[in-house]
Amino acid sequence: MIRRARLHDEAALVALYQRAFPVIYRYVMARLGRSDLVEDVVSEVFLVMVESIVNLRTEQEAGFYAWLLQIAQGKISRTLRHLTHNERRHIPLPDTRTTGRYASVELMATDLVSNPVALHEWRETLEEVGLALGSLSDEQQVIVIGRFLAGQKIEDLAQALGKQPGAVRVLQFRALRALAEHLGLTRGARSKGKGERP
Amino acid sequence: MNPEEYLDRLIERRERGEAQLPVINDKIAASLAAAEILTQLREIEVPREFASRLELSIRARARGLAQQNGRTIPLAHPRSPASSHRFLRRRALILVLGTAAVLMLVYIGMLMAYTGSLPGDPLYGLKQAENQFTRTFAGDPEARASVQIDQLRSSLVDLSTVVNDGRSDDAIRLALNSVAVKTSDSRRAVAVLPAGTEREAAQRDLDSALAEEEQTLRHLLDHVDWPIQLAFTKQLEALGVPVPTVTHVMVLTQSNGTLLIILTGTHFAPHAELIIDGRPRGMVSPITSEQLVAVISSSTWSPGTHALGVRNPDGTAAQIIFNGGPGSHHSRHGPHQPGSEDGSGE
Repeated sequence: MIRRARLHDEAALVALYQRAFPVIYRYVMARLGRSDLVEDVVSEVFLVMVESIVNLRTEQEAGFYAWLLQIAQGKISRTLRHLTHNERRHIPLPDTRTTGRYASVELMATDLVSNPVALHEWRETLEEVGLALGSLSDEQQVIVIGRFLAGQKIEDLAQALGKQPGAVRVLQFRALRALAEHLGLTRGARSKGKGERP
Repeated sequence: MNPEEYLDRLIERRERGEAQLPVINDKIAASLAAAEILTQLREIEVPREFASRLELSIRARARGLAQQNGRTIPLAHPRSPASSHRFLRRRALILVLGTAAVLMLVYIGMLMAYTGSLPGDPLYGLKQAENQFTRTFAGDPEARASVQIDQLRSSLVDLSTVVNDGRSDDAIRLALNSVAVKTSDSRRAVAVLPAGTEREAAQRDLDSALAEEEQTLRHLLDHVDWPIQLAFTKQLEALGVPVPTVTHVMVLTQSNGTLLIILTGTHFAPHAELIIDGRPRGMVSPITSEQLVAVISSSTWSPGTHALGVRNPDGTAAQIIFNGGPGSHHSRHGPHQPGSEDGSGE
C-alpha cells in the first residue's frame, strides 16, 4: 500500500490516512491538549504525508508510523515554541488565566462525560501525560507511541528505527521509567489510570 | 532475564490478557502503570467531522499531485512554419529533438531513482543536471520559457517539502537558492521573447508562478527559524514585495541602567519584535513604520558585536550588525540589502 501511495494513488493514501489518523490525533492531543491547535497540527502532518510520501524509504507500517510521528514531533515543537512565545507576549485576561490548556479538551472517552469528577481527573492525567511525553527524547516517544497507541511490536519498531530489538526494549524501559517518575508513580506504583478510579 | 525483557514480557502478557507474572520490584510496577496510562490514550475520542473534512482535503491533494505527475514534461506550443528556411531549420531541430527525446527517455529511465530527491540529498545534483538537460533541449524560446516556469514551480514544491520535512537549514538554503535562480531564469526567458500573444501568455504564466512563489514563501515564513526568515525575506524583496529594512541603529544607556535601542528603517509593522543575536528581546514600545524603540536590561547586553533585527508579525525580517557599545550608533551605507543576514551595510 505504501508503494501505491508513493505514486499518489488516492485510495492508498486515504487508506493509510484512515489507519494512522487516530494514532496521530491522540498523540498530538496528548501533547498539546487544545483541539483548535490539534486540528491545525494534525492537518499539517497529513498534508505533509501526501506531499512527501514519495521520499518515504520504508514499506513497513512501523516505519510509516515512525516517519509520521517524527513529522508530528516537528510540528508540535514549533507550535509549542509559538505558544510559549505568544504567552510571553500577551498577558492573558484574569478569567482565562485560571484555565489550563487541557481544560478545553472535550473529546474524551464517552463514558466519562456523565461523570464530572472522573472527567476532571482524566483531564489532569492527560495534561500530566502530555508534559511527561514531552520530557522524553523523540526516539523514546516514537517507541512508546508506536507500541502503546499504534500497537506495533518491538521487532517491527526495531526494524523501522534500524536498531536491535534489545536496544528498543532498553529505550522502552527507560522511557516508561521516566514517564513513571514524571507522573509520580514510582512510590508504591499508584495507578492514575481511569480504570482504577472508583 | 534482564529487567528490560522482563518488563516487555509483562506488557505483552497484559496485552494478551494472560496470567500475570510476579512483578519483581516497585520500579517495574511503576513502569507497568505508566504503560497502562499510555494505553488509555486510545480512549481519546477522535472527531469524525474533522476526520472527514481532512480526508476530503487529502483526496483533493492526492488527485492534484497525480495530475501534476502526469504532466511533468512540458510540451512546446505547436505552431505553423513561417518560411521555408525556418521550416528546414525546424526539421533539423525535430531530428535533433527526436534523438534527444530517445536519449532523454533512456536518461529518464536511469534517473527514476533520484526524481524524488530534494536539496541536500546526495542525488540532488543529478536532478539539477536533468533540469539543465531539459532546458537545453527545450527547442525554441517559448518552449524554453515554459520549461523554466515549470521548473520554478517544481522548485517551490521542493522548498515546501524540505521545510515541512523539518530538514536542516543548509538544505532549506539550497532549496531557496534553487527557487531564486529559477525565478531569475524564468524572468529572463520571458523577457527575451518577441512581443506578441505568445509572450503575453508566457508573461501571464510567469506572473501566476511568481504569485505562487510569494504565497509559498509567506506561508513557510512561519515555519522556519530566524536566519532562514531573513533569507526568505530577501527573496520576497526580489519579487517586489515591500519588506522591512534596517538602516540605522542607536544604543543608549538610560539613567536607570537599562539600555534604549532605537532601530530606524522601513516597513516596520505594528507588534514587530526586536531580535538580538537571533532571539526576541526587550520590551518594544508602540512603533512607527520607520522606527522601533525597545528597552532591554543592561545585564543581557555584553560588549562586542551584536546582530540587531526586526521581525514583523508576518515573519518578514531584517537585520544589521552592530559592533559598538552603549552610546554609539551604526548606519548602513550605500545600497541597503533588506533581509541581509550578514549585515552587509557594515
